Amino acid sequence: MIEITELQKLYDDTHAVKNISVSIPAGVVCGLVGPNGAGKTTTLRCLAGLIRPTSGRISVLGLCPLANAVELKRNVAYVPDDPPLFDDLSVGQHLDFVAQLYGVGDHRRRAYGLLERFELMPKYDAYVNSLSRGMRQKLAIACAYLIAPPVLLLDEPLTGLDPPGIRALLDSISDYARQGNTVIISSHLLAMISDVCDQVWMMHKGSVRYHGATAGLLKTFPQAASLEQAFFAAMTVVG
Amino acid sequence: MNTGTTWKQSCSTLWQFELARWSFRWQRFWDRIHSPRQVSTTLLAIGFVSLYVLAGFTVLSKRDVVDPQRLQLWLSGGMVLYGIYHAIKYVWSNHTRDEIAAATTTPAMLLWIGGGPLPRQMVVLHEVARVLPATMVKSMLLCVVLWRDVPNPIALWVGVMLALLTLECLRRIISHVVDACGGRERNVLRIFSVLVTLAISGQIVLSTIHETPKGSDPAEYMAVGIGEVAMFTASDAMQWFAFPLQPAAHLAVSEPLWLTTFIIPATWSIVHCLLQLLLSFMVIAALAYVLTQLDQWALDRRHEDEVRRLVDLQSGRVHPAKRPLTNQEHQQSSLPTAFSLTFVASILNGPIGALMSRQWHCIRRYRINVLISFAIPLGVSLSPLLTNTAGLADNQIKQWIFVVGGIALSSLLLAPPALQIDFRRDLKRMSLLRSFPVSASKMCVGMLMVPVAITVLFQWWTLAAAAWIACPNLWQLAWLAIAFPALALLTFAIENALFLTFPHQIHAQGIEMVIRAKVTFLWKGLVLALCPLVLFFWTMLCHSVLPESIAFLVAFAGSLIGCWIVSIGAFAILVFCWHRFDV
Repeated sequence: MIEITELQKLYDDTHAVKNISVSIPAGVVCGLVGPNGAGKTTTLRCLAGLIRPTSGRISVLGLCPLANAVELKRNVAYVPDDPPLFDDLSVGQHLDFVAQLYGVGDHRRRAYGLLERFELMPKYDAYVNSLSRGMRQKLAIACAYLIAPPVLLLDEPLTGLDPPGIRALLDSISDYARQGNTVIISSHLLAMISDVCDQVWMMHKGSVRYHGATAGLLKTFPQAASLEQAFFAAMTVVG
Repeated sequence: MNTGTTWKQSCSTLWQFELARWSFRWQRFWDRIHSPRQVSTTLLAIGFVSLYVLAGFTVLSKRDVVDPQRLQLWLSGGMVLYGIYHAIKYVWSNHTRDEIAAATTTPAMLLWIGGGPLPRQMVVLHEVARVLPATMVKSMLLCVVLWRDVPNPIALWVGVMLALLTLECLRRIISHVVDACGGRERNVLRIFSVLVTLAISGQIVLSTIHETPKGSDPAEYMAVGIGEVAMFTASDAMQWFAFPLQPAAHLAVSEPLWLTTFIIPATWSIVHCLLQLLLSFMVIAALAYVLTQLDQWALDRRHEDEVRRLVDLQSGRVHPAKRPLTNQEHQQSSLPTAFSLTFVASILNGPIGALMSRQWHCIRRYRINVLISFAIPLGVSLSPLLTNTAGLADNQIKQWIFVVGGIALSSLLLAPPALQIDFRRDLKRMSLLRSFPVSASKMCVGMLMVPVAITVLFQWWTLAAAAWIACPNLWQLAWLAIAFPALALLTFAIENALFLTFPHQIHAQGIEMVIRAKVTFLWKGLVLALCPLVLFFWTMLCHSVLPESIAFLVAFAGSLIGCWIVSIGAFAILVFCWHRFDV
């Protein structure tokens, strides 16, 4: 499903991503974790086709972000941290716009279902500039689900969400992956995502420190009782 | 999905999207129509447009008619001159744009349009097309001034609009080419831009001096100078550079293109207009195609540069990120340059000092742009002193009036856009600013202190240089030295108060911004026109009512007190606006 080979990204003088190679199969939820500045967002933006890698190859469903840019974007949804929305569109108009942009036919019923799931239905006619931070996050996630892409990239999606919102999102991620889709979720809330992640992808200073099954990471650090403890143990080893 | 379907669907999506946004804006305007703020803005806009149209059909319609051919030359050549100005400004700007930001303007556009399944060319062209409504309004405003000079006002409107669209394409092409340049190439372009600037300004200055009769007053030099700029834009060289603009410029004045008169009789005006319309569309289409190709070329070049830097980095030829400075190094590096204002800020040692210190860092970052922005008005303000005044006492007074006018004009019109480091820079950070434990008045003082101080520095520096050459009356000099800072404070206070009342993005475009710019220009023009009148009547009043022994003193002190009361009043309005600002 996702093949990354020797990916590197350079910003001015900052070597943000260093030679990473990762393979993620379909139907998997992969937790992308690492300290601030590890290169998580850069990697996700490369996968979404938003920025061009300096070197290396990316293949998502056999599509290359350079050669098949439009087709790749049709199959990948990326939700950034604090997603920017169009303040002059209402919640409903936003969903209509995204559906039209991605060519989603008869989207209304699915849109209503998503709004119900994320408790945004009462805000259907509200303009985006009147929504709270968490509601904006939920709307962006609902837009991503509306497209129903085979690959979903979520960058810090839990930030700003209330506890019921976090639960609804994590449940939806599990359901979505069970349908054969791949989800990469970047987060610092390790305790929250550990339940839903089949794989952990740990990055540190632009390099991959661990990638594999969540159970495998816990086996590597047997003294760790949780993903969070394993994360700290791994970071300590890295130094 | 084939390419044709993708383009068709993309066009339809973007059209619906823009319609939804327009409908929202109209709805918002209608919903807020009863609020005092909306009423005042609407009345101001309607008032301005009415006055403008009235002036266009009364005062301006009585002026001498300009030859359409000259108008056509100015239109095409003037736009090339603007293109050169944009290129020079862009070459010297320090911003680096990533590949998506190069084609989109806002973060939301970047994510949803840039990241959506749209062909990259469509994203680039969508940004160009978004200027269309504002271009239509700008063209209409220009038609109000020029309608008398041309045979067909409709052709004028369409021609100016197409010329402006062509210019927009050219402007974006220039930006993409500069974006594609590496560090060394950009330095070469900067040197080249300096040479071009010196050559153009040198030519205009020398020809102005040559063409103006010796002993003329500064007004004549200015009139001849403007004429020389017009001559320069109409020159053959500029017209060759303006070849993409020629069909639209000819259409604007309903004049046939020289080449087409060989196949179509010159008297068939309508046929010529239709042909020029077609040619203008073809030019815009060709430029749009070139723009999309250049965009891809720019992306590839930037990528090549990035790969080269990565290879250098990996081979150890360059170090990755710069090592942070140690405390000692930081003190050593910042002491000499930051001495003056950081020292003052440390004396203030409080929230105002902290705000000033932040602005000072900002000024240091953009020091070249700020220096250039003030060096040009400094030169222009002092230029009247270079005119020959031997034996003509009147001319010396005129020289001095022109210098003073130049300083006032620069303070009102050029300083605010050059020093956008106040509230206008912080629209996205308003919540943060509001969260600071700082009173409204201290916040406003902190925000205005550095831009006002720099403007005052410019005013005093220019005054001192002018006084050294022209040796004016010392009382006059003292009055100006005290009154000009009041003007600087007034300008920045009103500019920021307007911004806080009607906030907008710093690089926003659109019809609102066009009207806003005109209304802002109107109040500044009124200040420039009314101030001398009020001062004149005040002085006359003092001299006619008071005994001669104290009349001068009262006029001197009273006028200064009056100036500062107005400025402090403007500052109080700013404090009120910040106090009432709704995040």
